[in-house]
Amino acid sequence: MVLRAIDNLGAATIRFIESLGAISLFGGAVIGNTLRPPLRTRMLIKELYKQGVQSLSIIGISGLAVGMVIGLQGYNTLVRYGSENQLGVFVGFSIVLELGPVLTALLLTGRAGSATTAEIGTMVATEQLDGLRMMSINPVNLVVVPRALGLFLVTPLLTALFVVLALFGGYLIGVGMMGVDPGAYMGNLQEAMDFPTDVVGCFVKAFIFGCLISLISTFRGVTCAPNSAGVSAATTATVVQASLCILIADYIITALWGF
Amino acid sequence: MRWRFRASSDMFPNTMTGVEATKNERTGASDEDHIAFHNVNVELGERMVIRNLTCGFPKGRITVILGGSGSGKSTTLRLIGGLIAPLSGKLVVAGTNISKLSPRKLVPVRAKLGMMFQGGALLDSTNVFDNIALPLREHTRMKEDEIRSEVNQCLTRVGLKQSDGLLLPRELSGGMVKRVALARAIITKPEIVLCDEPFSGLDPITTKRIELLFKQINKELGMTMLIVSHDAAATLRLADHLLILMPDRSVQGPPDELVNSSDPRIKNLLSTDVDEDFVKLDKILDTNAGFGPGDLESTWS
Ligand SMILES: Nc1ncnc2c1ncn2[C@@H]1O[C@H](COP(=O)(O)OP(=O)(O)OP(=O)(O)O)[C@@H](O)[C@H]1O
Ligand SMILES: [Mg+2]
Repeated sequence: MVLRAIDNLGAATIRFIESLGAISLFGGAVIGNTLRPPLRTRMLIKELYKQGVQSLSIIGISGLAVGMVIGLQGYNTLVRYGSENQLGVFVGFSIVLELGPVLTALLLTGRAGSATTAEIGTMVATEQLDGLRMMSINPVNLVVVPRALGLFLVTPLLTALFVVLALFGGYLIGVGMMGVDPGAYMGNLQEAMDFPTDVVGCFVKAFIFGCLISLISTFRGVTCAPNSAGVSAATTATVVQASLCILIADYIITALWGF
Repeated sequence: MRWRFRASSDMFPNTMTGVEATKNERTGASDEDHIAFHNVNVELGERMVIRNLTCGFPKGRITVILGGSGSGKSTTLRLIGGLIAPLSGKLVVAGTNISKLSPRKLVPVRAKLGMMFQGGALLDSTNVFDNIALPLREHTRMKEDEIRSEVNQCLTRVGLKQSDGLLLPRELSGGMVKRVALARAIITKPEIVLCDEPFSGLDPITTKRIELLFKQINKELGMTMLIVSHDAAATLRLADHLLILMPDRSVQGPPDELVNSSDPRIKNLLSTDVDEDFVKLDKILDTNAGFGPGDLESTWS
């Protein structure tokens, strides 16, 4: 009984380390192939459209909604202490430091990461990647790189959109509905925000989350079992693993960056 | 055609210098073979799929691989393409032992291979034209109009219209997918063409047409062709050489010899007339008794 448990733990650890090794090798191959010509501009633009432009509405609406909720909650809290003029700071810090990058990354994982895994997984199941290998075309180069690069570039851009719309949402509630002074909202926000730590930190997070989403979703696609059950398992794995990695990485970056 | 990796492929001469093959009996491989299996074992997911296969595929000839469903025909082709590695044994393709090659070292070997997959394996995000043009764009420095004329020529060859080039794979019928896959396999004029069930799902006229096409490119370009097929009639018309995979053993030889084989399973596989089965079926239906697929099993096992 105890031995069995130790056995299982050992096997799980080995599997974990093995997959860590595999994903590192895969990441190395992706980076190597990204730097190697040709740059497949047309395919990259197609991916940017699919992953970025088509995610605009979900990211935009979520950003606005989250900003409005934070604005409302923040006002209700601050007004008790008579410091509702600090609403801009309240909304700004929660959005820029945490909610902006994290929520954008989680939404993108569900919206674009899972789709990428499912697409590549279906290509594995229908032997399209084997077909490429037979033509001596590296699937990492032709299939993975445009998608991974697309996801990587799109994450910080959409994070910026989320943050701007969330700040606007907070403004809308605070100034438009609750009557906070517009000058105080913007002025206090500007004064409190420190560009090199807060704003740059936000984008550091967004870049790292972009790496995680693009790496995990393409890796899960390429290593997917070649059947429909495999595709569905890989898609689920992408959402679960990428979300967890994002949240854990968020803590580590916050701790190290010293927000 | 200027293959970027042609320079390195000179290291691998077409003659089978690397093989010290002995001439086995009828199940063996010989020196003139373009592809040779020596005691190859393959395990997939803890199951032995191919057991101790020794056979050869003669250069410049059409070999048809026959066998029941699940007998390992597709696996054989995937082995030759280096998509799966054998558990043990030696596998020589165009003079190179590929049984333990890294993907990088496989590149010059694969440059000599064209493969048509059972399901087509076309890239579904690009249209037919781009699918066929892909190997040319990736590996040659041909200009766009050269590529255009080459691809269009290839499309006509397999009996498709130029306008079909604009369709996406999901807009094609099953037979058209097969023809596009074939076009993509032969566009680089490889030495060896591997075709997985090129006739299944095609109407008799297209089947004949593809048969003729196989004969034609085999004659004109001297390609070695390996064709997996279920169609006995087409097999006997096409094959210069036959490989029959059965659960317990494999047999190879010229078709006219194998037709007269004493093994009833081989006879069954190669029989072009199915009357016997229909008579049996009629009888079963007459007696109104139920029958299962097992009653016709003798054909395959
Ligand atoms: N990935 C795999 N894992 C485990 N077993 C496999 C795998 N792929 C194929 N097999 C098994 O290998 C055997 C041979 O498969 P293969 O696809 O070569 O058959 P086939 O002769 O091409 O059949 P068909 O005529 O139906 O295409 C089958 O019994 C199959 O169950
Ligand atoms: Mg098959």
